[in-house]
Amino acid sequence: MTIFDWRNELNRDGHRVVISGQPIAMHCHHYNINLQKTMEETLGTEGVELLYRSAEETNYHSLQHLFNHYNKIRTLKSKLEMASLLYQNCGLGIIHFRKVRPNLAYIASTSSHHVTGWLAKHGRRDTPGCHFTRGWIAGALEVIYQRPLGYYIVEELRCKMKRDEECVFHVKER
Amino acid sequence: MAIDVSKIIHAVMEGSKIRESKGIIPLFGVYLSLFSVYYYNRLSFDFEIKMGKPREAEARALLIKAAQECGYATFQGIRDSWEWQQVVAPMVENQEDQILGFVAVAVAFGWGDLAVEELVPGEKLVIRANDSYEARGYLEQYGPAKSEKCYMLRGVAGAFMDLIYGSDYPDGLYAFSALETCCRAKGDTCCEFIARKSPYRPNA
Amino acid sequence: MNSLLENHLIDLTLRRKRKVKKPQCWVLLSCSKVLCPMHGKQATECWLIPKTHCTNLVQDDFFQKLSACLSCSYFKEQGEIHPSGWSYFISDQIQKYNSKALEHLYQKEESFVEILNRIPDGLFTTDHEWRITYFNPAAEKITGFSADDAVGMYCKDVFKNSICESDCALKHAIAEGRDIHNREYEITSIEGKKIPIICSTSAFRDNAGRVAGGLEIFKDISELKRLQEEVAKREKKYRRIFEGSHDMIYTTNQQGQILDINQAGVEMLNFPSKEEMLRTISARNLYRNTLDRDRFLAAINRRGQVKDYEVEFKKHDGAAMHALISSRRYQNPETGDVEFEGIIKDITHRKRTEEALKQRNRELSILNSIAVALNHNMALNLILQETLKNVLKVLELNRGAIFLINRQQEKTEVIAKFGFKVESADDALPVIFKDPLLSKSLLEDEMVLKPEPIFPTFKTHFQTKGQKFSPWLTCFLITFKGKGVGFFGLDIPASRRLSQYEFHLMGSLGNFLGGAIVNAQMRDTIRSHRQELRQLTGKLFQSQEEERRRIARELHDESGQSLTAVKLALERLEHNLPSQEKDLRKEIGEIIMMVRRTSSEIRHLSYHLHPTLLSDLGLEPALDLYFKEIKNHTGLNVEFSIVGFDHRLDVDMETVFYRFSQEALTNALKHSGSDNFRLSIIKSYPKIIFRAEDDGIGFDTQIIGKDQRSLGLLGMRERTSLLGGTFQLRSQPGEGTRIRIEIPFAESLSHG
Repeated sequence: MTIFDWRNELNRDGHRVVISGQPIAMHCHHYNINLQKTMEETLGTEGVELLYRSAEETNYHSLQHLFNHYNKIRTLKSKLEMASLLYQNCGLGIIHFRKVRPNLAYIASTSSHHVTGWLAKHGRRDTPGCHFTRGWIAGALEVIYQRPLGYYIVEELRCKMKRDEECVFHVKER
Repeated sequence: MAIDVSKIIHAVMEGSKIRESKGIIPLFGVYLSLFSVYYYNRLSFDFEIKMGKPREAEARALLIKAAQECGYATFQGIRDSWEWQQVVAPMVENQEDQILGFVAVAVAFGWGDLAVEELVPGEKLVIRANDSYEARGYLEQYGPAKSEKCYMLRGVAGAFMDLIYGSDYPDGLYAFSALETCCRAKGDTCCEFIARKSPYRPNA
Repeated sequence: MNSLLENHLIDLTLRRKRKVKKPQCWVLLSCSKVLCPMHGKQATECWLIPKTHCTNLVQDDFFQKLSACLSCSYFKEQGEIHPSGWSYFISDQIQKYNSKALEHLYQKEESFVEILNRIPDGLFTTDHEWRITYFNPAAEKITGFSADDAVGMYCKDVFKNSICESDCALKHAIAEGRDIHNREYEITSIEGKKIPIICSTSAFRDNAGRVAGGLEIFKDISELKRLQEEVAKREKKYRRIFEGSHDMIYTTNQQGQILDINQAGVEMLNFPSKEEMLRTISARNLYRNTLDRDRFLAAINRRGQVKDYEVEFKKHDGAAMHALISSRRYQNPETGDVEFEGIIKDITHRKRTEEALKQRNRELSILNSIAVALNHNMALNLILQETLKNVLKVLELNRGAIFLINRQQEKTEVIAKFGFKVESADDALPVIFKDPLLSKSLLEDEMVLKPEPIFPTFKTHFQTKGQKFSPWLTCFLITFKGKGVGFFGLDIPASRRLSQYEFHLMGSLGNFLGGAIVNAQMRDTIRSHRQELRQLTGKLFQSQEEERRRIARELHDESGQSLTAVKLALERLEHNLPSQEKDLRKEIGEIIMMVRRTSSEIRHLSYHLHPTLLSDLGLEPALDLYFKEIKNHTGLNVEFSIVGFDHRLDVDMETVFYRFSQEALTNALKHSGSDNFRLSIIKSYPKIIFRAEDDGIGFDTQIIGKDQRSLGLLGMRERTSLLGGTFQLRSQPGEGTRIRIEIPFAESLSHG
């Protein structure tokens, strides 16, 4: 993977911070977890859905832009590698695309910004809480498999916020 | 010594490029994530929409509150961090310099071109931004707004004052609260945040 | 390199040249590393290579070793015979050395980590940004975070304690440039549970002195805290008892240092504060008599405890305090010192109450002794003498007297005295009042005192001739019905001050004794009057009998003789009277009959007044005759018996029993309406028992002395009393009457 060099992608455009030309904001776990908690507590499942959808849409557009930009990256494997590299370099964690098929995937995460942030702020929780990652995976696979937004549905089978050993996501067609 | 914003921005940019095997960016005592401003805008503004007209004010208050709590914890962590001690602290001569340092970090984080317009110690802080990602995002997504939209910056402006002029951490939260007096999302030329002592302390 | 080594090397080189396959250099060098596992064994490679016996020298200076190897003939020989040449051999040896050295370091680190993993306390290390770099299993167990998650996180996010931001032990360790030990914190586990920990921290620094990170060892002290809380709760409870007790609770040591004392103890001993008390006073100084402390120590050291040890303490202000100590001896497990702990009760009030009670008892005993004396009709002077002794004893005085006021003679007299060395004749010595006016007032009959619980004291003294010094006596008035009856005169030394109770005692005694004295005086007067009355009654009875006897004698001797003479003259006149004078004869005959009848009545009256038969033959014949006449005249059935008289009583006694019999029978005849009357006189030494009874209507015995008919019975009782006998009358309406008289009898009363 020599085409995509992360150290050249993160830049400043004046007062703005960009990754591959797209504006990003650096936010800490306090803000991200506070937002998640506010959504969950205020809107319940609708709030969870909002988190999922926002991440899915955002990542869909970001990756689409990235793959368009790096059009030499064509293979499924390289796209998956690029996506996981982006995930890691954005400080979102580690993602392992273990078993990926166009209609089904099992994906694991051994570390994530949201898990660390949640555990740091609130400790263990009783229900899976990686809504952001679920959305992010859905958006990523939709771009990689060139499916429309919302094509996949991602569930979290195991979650480190619940003190499982790793987060395991199950992807299926909606 | 004046606060050298570029030095702080450089430190943040360099720091955020350092990766570790777990894909976490620990910097300034917090774990940073770099993600599209679109995500944050979508989340905030759709939350406001989903809450509906009757709960509009509540939605805004919650978003501001989340930001103020975040800002309070984040910048406490930041000023207590090794990086702050190494990079910023040598430039800080008084309490007011700390606020300038906070603003520089916020700029480095890509929150907008923030600048301190006025600072009355213990009383008032005026921050102005010509380009906040919230205002820009709203305008691009929804068109001109009827009200101010920079909830994150509004909360953070209050948190800056809480940290410097409020009680010792963690008791000083909500000692101050900020208003967004003008916002580019509404068509104003800039976004302006004025933090003053809170008339009341909202429920934490 | 020393000469011995050089020689060996030369020798080695020479031999190698001769024969390559020789024992390895280190064997010939007599390597001193006898603990090396390769010592004494064949080696295949040079000692530069770590797996030889020099393994443990990998940390030594590499260049020093290399230079030693390069000067080693064996090393050179090995290089020269190496198929890839000398340079390759050298680089290969260095690479091998490096990899082995690295391996060795890793092994060391691994074993070090293994040790850390086995440490039962939580342990983590951080980098200079306070991010966790190592997190041992015990730390995982305590916090709930897995090492995978914790490593890389800021330690404040794992431990979640607000003071992580402001009071971080690691930061303190760095700032203060020293290790921090045993700091207590409360962390929040991943489950949200608050866990108290105790930690020790240490900062790592690099060669330049910059902080490179830190290490913190921590222990979950939840159980310890729980136990501490339990102990604190118990301590609080016992402290509450300790502080809330009204008794002193204390601990001291053998030397008398007060180690702890409750507030009650501080207040009990009038100290301004506990601190001052602990600082300034020794237990020994609390004892009024320090020998008591020695005795206490001897007892508690002997028996291990003392119970109800009574001593007198000295308060901070010097006041006395009676204390009751119950204490035990124990050995302080921390210091090994012998200490005492116990409870001290302030029994001052109790002691005073007991003392007051004893005093009251003594006072009561005085009053009781007076009452007893009065009940026993003791003579007044003896009563007062006894009272005086008791008063002096109770008041703990040596001298005193009781004076009575004699208004008739206008003087005061000593009736009882104690402790004065004066002759009995001195009793008559005048008593001098310090206040002459008071003396005059007391002796005056007109002065009436208002009733008071206690009158003011005054001073008197004896005017003695012999004694040079006669002390002024403090006098307490004895009164009765507003009159001064007398007074106590007590010699009270100047150093002795009477208490309020003692003054009241004297006041009570004065009032009580006044009545007793007047009563005793009145009783004496009554006794004297009664004695006179009895003498008069006896005289009266005697006179009566004598008068009766005289009248009887006169009636018999003179009137009887005269009537006999008249009768004889009339008989002569009748005899000489002519026969025709029948009417006159008849009249004379009637006069003779009248004279005879009068003579008989006079004789009868004379006998009744004093039966001659009684004087002549004695009581039994006289009564036999008397009862026989009564029977004849009245028809009353009289049973009479007299028993035990072997000879006659004296005349007066016979007369008494005759009169008793007469009176009893007269009463029966006059009032009882009885048919039967029984009388017996029994002589039963040392008394004579007179019994009379009838079966008549009886009467109410309460009327004796109140009507005419009972005057006879009153006379019988008086006669009996004069003779020292007892008189019993038993009668009830409808149940007859019984009289029993017992007269003491002495043989001397016998007749003749």
